[in-house]
Amino acid sequence: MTVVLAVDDLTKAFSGLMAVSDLSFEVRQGEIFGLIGPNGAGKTTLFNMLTGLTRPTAGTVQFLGQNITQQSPAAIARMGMARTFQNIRLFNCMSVLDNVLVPMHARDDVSLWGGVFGTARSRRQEREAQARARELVALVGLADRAEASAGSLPYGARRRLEIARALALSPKVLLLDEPAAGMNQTEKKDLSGFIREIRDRFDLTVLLIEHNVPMVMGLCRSVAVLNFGQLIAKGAPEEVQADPAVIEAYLGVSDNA
Amino acid sequence: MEDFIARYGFLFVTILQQALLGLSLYFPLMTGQLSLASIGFYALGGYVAAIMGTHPELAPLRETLGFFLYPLEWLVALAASTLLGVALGYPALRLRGIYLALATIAFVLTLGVVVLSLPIAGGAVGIFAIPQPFEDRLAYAWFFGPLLALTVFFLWRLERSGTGRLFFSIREDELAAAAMGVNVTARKVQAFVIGCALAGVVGAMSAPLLNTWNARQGTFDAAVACLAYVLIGGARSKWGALLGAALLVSLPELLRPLKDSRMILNGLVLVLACVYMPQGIAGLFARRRS
Repeated sequence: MTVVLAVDDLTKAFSGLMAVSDLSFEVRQGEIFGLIGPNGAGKTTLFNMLTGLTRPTAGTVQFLGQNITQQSPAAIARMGMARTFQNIRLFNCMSVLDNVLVPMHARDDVSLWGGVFGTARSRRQEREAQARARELVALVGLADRAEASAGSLPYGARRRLEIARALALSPKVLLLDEPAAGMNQTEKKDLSGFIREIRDRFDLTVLLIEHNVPMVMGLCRSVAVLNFGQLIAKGAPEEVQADPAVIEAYLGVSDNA
Repeated sequence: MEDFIARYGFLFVTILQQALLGLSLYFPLMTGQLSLASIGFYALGGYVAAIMGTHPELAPLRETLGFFLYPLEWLVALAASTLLGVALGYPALRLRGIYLALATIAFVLTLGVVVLSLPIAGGAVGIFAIPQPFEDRLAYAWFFGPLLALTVFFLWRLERSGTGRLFFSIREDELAAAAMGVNVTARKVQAFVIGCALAGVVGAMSAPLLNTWNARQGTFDAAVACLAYVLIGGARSKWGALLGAALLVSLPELLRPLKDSRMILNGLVLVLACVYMPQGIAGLFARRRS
């Protein structure tokens, strides 16, 4: 199995506070890799560094064998790293379909004049993007809401739309930041199935931040646990679950231990 | 009828002209950027046309070209504004929100000072006796009308194109747009430069209309007036700039019977509009539709 993402000694300090320190791990092709840890452990900061939104203080990120540490977010996204956001960041005033079209136009680097004058090339790009966007919107069950504005959708649908928008980048790696937040048990089970389905269908590698431990244990074959910016455990879910350091981070130390 | 045209012809042409300036602000606003640079490019375009129309050394050119001098002026103004727009856009558009607005105002003020000290621009007196293609002021609608129609058509096509969606995605959420692969700075510069180029051409068309051109054409007040069109009309729709310009240009005229108190009422309308229509006039229509 090839390594698609290699993080090496990655560190981020926010004016003295170590949000992430000396983090190293590898993610292999086709994996669903779980990232867990208490609030403030540095999981989202890690995602922001992987996608170029936050510059690391030190360390490197290798994506498909290339060092992307100093790349711009747009360049990293176009290389095939797509993400969703913990606090859903859709283009709220745009339609569901247009939200999914944006990453495709960005990848095509559409021409302004071509679009205005309707050149053959830009008409073809538009046709292909529209067809693919409709497929993706249907895939997340929003086909009948394609023209509705993204902001008008209910919460669960907005989460699904964000995944569809990320898939529109035709990514190699998909980063999901708490996709199950605010969902009930049935919805969480459906989401787990859906993540597996898209992984197989689009040949993805998935990085998943999730607080729901049963869901992570069910989905992921490797898990990394962060606490106060440090990697405290890494491995198969069962091993990690039994690790004393992990139990301590989540439950605290027992007095009569 | 003649009386009516004599009185309102100039007003009509001014509405078209100011609506175009308002639309030049709408282009950067499509990407969520508030730029007040338009009036600087308007002044620049006007100077291009004024110099080409009056400079003694260009007399042979004017004789051979005849009426075609005017389209040539527009093209030169377009080229000059585009170049300056790119040069200003790349550094300025790294700034956000109010800082971009301040930087563009600083540009307008700087341009004003530069112009005052340039002999070719006529210093403080400016350039006067700019040749006029038409006797009748209403006839300038043949300049501004087609340009306005072209601009609205351009916008209508742009908003439905991929580039339009990329522009709007930056307006909605710049960070998310970057994470979706949108080359945010390059797209902002694109939108900004189109606005600059449009303002430059409007300036080149306006110099013959006004007959004289001087540093007063590109002032802070004029920049704020353009901003007001967009605010009153609505910053999120191309119709906003049109409605805003039509209302704000004609309001002082409509209130003329009130004599001196008209400016008070004019101000009152502005304040009330800002308080009760934060989305502008175009926003009211949009709300009714949804």
